[in-house]
Amino acid sequence: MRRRDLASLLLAGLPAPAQTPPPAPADDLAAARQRVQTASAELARFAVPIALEPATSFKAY
Amino acid sequence: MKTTFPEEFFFLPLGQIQAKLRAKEFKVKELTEAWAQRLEQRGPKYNALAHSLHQPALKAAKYQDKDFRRDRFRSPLHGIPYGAKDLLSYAGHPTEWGAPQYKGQVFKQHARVIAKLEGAGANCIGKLAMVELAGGGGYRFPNASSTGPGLNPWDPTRWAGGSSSGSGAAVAAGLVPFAIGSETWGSILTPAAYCGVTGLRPTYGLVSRSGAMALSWTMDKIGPLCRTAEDCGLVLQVIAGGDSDDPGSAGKSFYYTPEYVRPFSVLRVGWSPADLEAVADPAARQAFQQATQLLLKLGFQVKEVELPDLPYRTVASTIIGCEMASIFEPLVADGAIHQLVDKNQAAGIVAATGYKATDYLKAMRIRRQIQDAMAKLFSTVDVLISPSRPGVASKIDEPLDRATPPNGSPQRGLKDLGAAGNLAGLPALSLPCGFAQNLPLGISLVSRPWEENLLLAIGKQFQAQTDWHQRRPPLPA
Repeated sequence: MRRRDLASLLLAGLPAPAQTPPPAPADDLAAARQRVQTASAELARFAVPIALEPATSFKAY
Repeated sequence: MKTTFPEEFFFLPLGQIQAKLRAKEFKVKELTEAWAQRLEQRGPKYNALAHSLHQPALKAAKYQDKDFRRDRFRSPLHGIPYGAKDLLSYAGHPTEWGAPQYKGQVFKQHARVIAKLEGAGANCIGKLAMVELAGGGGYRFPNASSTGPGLNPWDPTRWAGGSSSGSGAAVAAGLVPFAIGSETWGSILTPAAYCGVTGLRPTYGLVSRSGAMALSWTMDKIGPLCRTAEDCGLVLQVIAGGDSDDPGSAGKSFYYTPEYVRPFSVLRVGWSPADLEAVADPAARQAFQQATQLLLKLGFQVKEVELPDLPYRTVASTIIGCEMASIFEPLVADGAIHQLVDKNQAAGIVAATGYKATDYLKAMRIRRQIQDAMAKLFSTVDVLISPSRPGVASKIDEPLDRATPPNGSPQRGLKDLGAAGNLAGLPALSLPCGFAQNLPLGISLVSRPWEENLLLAIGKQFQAQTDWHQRRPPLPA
């Protein structure tokens, strides 16, 4: 927003528009959080040997 | 006299373009000018162009003409124009990652692949459009980009695929002789298949990602989209190589030598009838069956296989989600994430910050099992064949989560090969293999790590017997 636009809004006594766009709709976020929880639950159900180390030092294969 | 290039010239493979340069049929400057103008004029019709690099490319072309006058040839790409996905930095020019938050972002250095291509004498004429932040948050619509939806040159009411949308569309429409894209999970193979071009996803660690936007450190790969398998080999030879600035670099080089691949008669090829019968869209089945039969008739030992029962998709989405959430955490913290065009993607990135550390580590432990399972599978076969995508490009206004309904087939086949191959870091080559509904289809070959020459040799042989890769989309309206 330019200073000139802000000044005209203040002079008109109107509230300034938000500088950041509105967040994602709540249902989108709820659905995305549900997907994370579903993935987390699926991973938790999957049994792995206790000695199995993660592929943190990743190489192909 | 100014050289004019006929329409068919813009669809020639790299070797033929460079042969004409060496024969001095035209200058590098003329070639660069013609291609840069074409990209500027037609690229916006497909939302394929993020930023033109017309002027720096012309400047470089002048120096390259001096080389050609003295018969100094640096590489098979010397004097050839190309486009790069806008995820790769180009010094002094915008690199915006397809996202409104990064409008005007400029880096001081070229990405390593662009520096390597520059050293080989190739000219970057434009940054090509991409899905915002490479789409890791899970976008709902193809318009998830600050440049608009990537339109398919075969039918602009269809999507070009993502996230390397501009790279696929620009090669398909003959706006660049080749393009550089990137893949974390499907971002080279999908646009290659949807746009009817040849795309190579190299082995993880073969091509440096220094100077590229990171989406997932352990899964990001950079590779070429070209007209032919041979062109992919020529480009990969230039861009591959070790790089101490990329922690994922394997320190390996690549030399394109398909002639030294083992005879096809000793190679074992694995495929699954379920991929062609149950997984593929009904309209695409005939084309996939014909292409698979042609591939299997190249003289291989053929074997039916299926992937072991493992949670490939959940593991891939968790790893990408966790790494992405860490990378883009500042955008979430200051609220700028909500500037993304696709609100579903913004929600996906915000939600991904809610993964637990144990989720990530569990996924990485299962990934180890997936790597072992793939190594075991590749002890019985040398190559796997499967459709790159189940069908043709979706409509531009169609939600992507509805375009490919989950397959209910009890047969696993190789339908999760995309997730499995990316998790295990395996190379893959997508070849144009036919049409359905007047739109291109692609079939993928996947092999062990570092066996790109094997994939390229098979691709070259397949393309010697087919002309799908030579088909051209209609001229833009």
